[in-house]
Amino acid sequence: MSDTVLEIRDLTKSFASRSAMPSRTKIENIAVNKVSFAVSAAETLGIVGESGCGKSTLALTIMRLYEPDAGKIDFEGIDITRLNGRELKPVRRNMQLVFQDPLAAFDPRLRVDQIIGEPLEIHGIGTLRSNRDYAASLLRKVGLYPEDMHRLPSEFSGGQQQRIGIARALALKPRLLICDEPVSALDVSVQAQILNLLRDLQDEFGFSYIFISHNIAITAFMSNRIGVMYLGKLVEMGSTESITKNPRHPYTKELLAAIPEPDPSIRDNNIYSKSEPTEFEGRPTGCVFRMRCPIAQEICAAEEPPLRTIDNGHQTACHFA
Amino acid sequence: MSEILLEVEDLNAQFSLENDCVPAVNGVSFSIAKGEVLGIVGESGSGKSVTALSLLRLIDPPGEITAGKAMFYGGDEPIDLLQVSSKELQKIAGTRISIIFQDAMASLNPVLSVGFQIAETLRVHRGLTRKAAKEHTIYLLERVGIANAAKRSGNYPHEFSGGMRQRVLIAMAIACQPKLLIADEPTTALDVTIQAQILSLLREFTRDFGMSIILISHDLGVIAQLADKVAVMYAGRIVESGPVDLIFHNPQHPYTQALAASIPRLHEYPTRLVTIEGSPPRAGTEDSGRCSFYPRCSQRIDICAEKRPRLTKILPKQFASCWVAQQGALADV
Amino acid sequence: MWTYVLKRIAGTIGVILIVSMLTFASMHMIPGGPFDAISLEKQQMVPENIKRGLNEKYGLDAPVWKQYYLFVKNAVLLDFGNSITYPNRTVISIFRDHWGYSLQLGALTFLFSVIIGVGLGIIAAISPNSFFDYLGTSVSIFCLVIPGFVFAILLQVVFSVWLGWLPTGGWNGPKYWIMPVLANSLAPILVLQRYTRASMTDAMRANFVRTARAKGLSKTRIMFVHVFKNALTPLLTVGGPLAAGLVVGSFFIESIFRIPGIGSYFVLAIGARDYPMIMATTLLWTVIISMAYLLTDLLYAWADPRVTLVKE
Repeated sequence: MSDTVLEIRDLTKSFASRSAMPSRTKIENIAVNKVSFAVSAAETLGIVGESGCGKSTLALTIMRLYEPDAGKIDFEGIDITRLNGRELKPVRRNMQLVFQDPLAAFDPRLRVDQIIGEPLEIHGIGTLRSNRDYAASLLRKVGLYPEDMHRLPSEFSGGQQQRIGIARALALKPRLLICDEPVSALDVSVQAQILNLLRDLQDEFGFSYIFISHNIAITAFMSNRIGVMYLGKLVEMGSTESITKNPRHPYTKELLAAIPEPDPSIRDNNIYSKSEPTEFEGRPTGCVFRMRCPIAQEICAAEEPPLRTIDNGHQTACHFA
Repeated sequence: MSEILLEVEDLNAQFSLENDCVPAVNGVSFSIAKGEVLGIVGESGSGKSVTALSLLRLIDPPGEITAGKAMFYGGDEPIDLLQVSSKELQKIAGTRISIIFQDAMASLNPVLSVGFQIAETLRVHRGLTRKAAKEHTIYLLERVGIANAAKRSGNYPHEFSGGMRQRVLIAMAIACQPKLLIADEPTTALDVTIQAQILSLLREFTRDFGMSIILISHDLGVIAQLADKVAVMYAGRIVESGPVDLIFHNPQHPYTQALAASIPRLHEYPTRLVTIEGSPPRAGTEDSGRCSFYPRCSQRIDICAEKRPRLTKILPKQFASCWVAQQGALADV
Repeated sequence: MWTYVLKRIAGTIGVILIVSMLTFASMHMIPGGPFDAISLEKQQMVPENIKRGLNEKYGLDAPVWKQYYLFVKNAVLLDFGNSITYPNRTVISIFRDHWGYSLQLGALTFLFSVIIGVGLGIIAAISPNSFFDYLGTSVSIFCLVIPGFVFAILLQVVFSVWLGWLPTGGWNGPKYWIMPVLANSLAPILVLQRYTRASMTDAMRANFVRTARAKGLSKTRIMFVHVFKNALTPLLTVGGPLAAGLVVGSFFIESIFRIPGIGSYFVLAIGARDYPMIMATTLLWTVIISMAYLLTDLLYAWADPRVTLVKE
């Protein structure tokens, strides 16, 4: 049995705010609502969902960049939920983040070698010279030229910038990399390069990924298992094959059906431009998806369906799945 | 054979920077028939957006249209959109030809109500009274699927979600029942379920009022679902064009082939994706005298580095600008 | 909204209290009192015993906190006492008699500056690098470089002394308004022209302008219906305090043109240690600025629907 790198249990994070909607009521936005899952070594767990589902907040909460309101985070066997800054520092070495917008994630005035070297500096590793050599080798690993070390990130293309971001994330030899929409801002022809790179690096170094994306096809390519989130809740989790071939939760089904297939012979000529559900603030009682669900019944409003295992690691949170 | 609605010939646009004239669109020609959906596929730097903006002359200095014709047959008489006076163009924009953009929030005026912005088109172009315009606005909002339209028409753009805002933009664009809608990446910023609804809405309008659409996107899935014919753009030029099923099932240009192959498909589980080396060229980098795809092409031959191929007929309905494709076609003959 | 307004007004009272305390303390911390010198011309020092007597009469020998307490007690009833410099007149009556002129001067200046400043700014934004743009910039540089009072004297010399078209001073009718308003407007025109040009240019670059053009709207309509409303908000931010500053008069302009406004009282009271006057003018200024900010905030929320008045 492969060891568990990360396990979260009932992780919850909420924000209080005032809505921009005409009602202007005060709402408590539960961005991450009792989410639980585990990630094994050398595994990729994909998290998919649409905007507002909380997947990015989840990533930041796991990294302790947001303080969890409730729940537990176990990283490599240690409970890191409530560690303070000093205790957290050694943990941070093993958990890194790759961001969606690489340029925004860099200090524009730092050169590439400084960007990659910064994590090493912060953790007091190596000397200036050894780090420079190490940075050069990292750049080669991600498919860039070490000669470019002295340039500014703005001089590179989007794909190259993301490679720099990945090199930086690798610098500390982490055990877990959380990738938050790492290819969404890139051109289609470049996306494949970065995805291949990520897989190659995983094969070489054996770290785990949490791969977050709104694009299910890309997530399916990258991941061993996929979790589907909706309004802060994990509504389905299973192996990539069972999720894509045999989705059980109505939301997952809707999500998969909505993907425009790049094949004109499979054209869905239905008209379903029905209006979006009237916007409401906050969470509905009971099942979080019931307002949009085609098979919702009374029980869905009364009781929140728990995440149940259906078979072989495939879990879903629906009364009728 | 449907009548031609718009015929673009040899469109050229460039950006004049300090020392340079950087070409963004280079000799682009295409046509679109009534009721047809033309999908323009391209990545960044391909010139697809500049092409769309050129049709309504929305390119601002330092950019300018340097050559070309865009014959529009949607009015009483054919006119050249690129030559006609600004006053004439103002009468056509918003009425016979409309354009919607990617970022709906940025495209709407934040300090005016949504109803005002839609009604404005009706009042300015159709001379409707305030009251009549308001009624028609509510009708339009309902038509694009916004619940509670009467109340919502008084709301401001920031009070809507992304998908709703895009619907508002569409309502504004179709208010005067245009013959042609240019949609520049209309669903790129939207969630996939909302995207499906918006695409379905556009399909509905093509069917219901025979509206033609020029749909610009980098998402092959979106193109495949909506387009009747496709033009693939790369580095400011059209490198392949043809009917949608042929383009997807039998692409002729190496770029199209590689692009289609590099997208992960849902029910295939490869361990690696097919990639195209390198990145798309920055907008306007000039590559005189050779095929612009040469540095990234896996099928290139010597002549590709020496002469630029022109868009030629490869198969009965397909055109591509590629020496390899041409040779392949000749070999088959 | 009204709860918000009330909350702000309540806040202003707090501010007034704090300002009054600080001013009172500062006043008494400056060395010297109102009776240390009778007049600058005579360079006479007041004899000690007379000074003591006067201080006693005005209650200036009592401890500061006691003086403050008495001050507040009376101030609440709008009784600021008599001016020390003008012992026969109460501070309130001075305000009553003189503020009107300053208000008029300020209002006319504001009106004129808005028309010229905002107008030049709009034109400059609509046709950048045109004759009007350069005209606007030249006017601004002129306003920046030449101080108001120098310009005032210049105007006086040219139009009153040499040409004899306009009176040198006073405030008896429209002819008397021209030069003071012109001179007083220099700084405001500068500020308004630059800000208007900048915020219009910014708003013009926004994507919704492209949409408006795609809708076939005329350039004029786009400018005045779409762009201007967006450009308004930065202008309001700048305009509020500007108006507030104008309303309390201008020492220089009023002196040069012999306008009996209250500008001089603001400036001279401190030197003369005229404590009641200092307190009154400072508090007046505080109230005016607070109201100006409140008004600006309200107008801001009206102009930009994305802004909510209530804090999170």
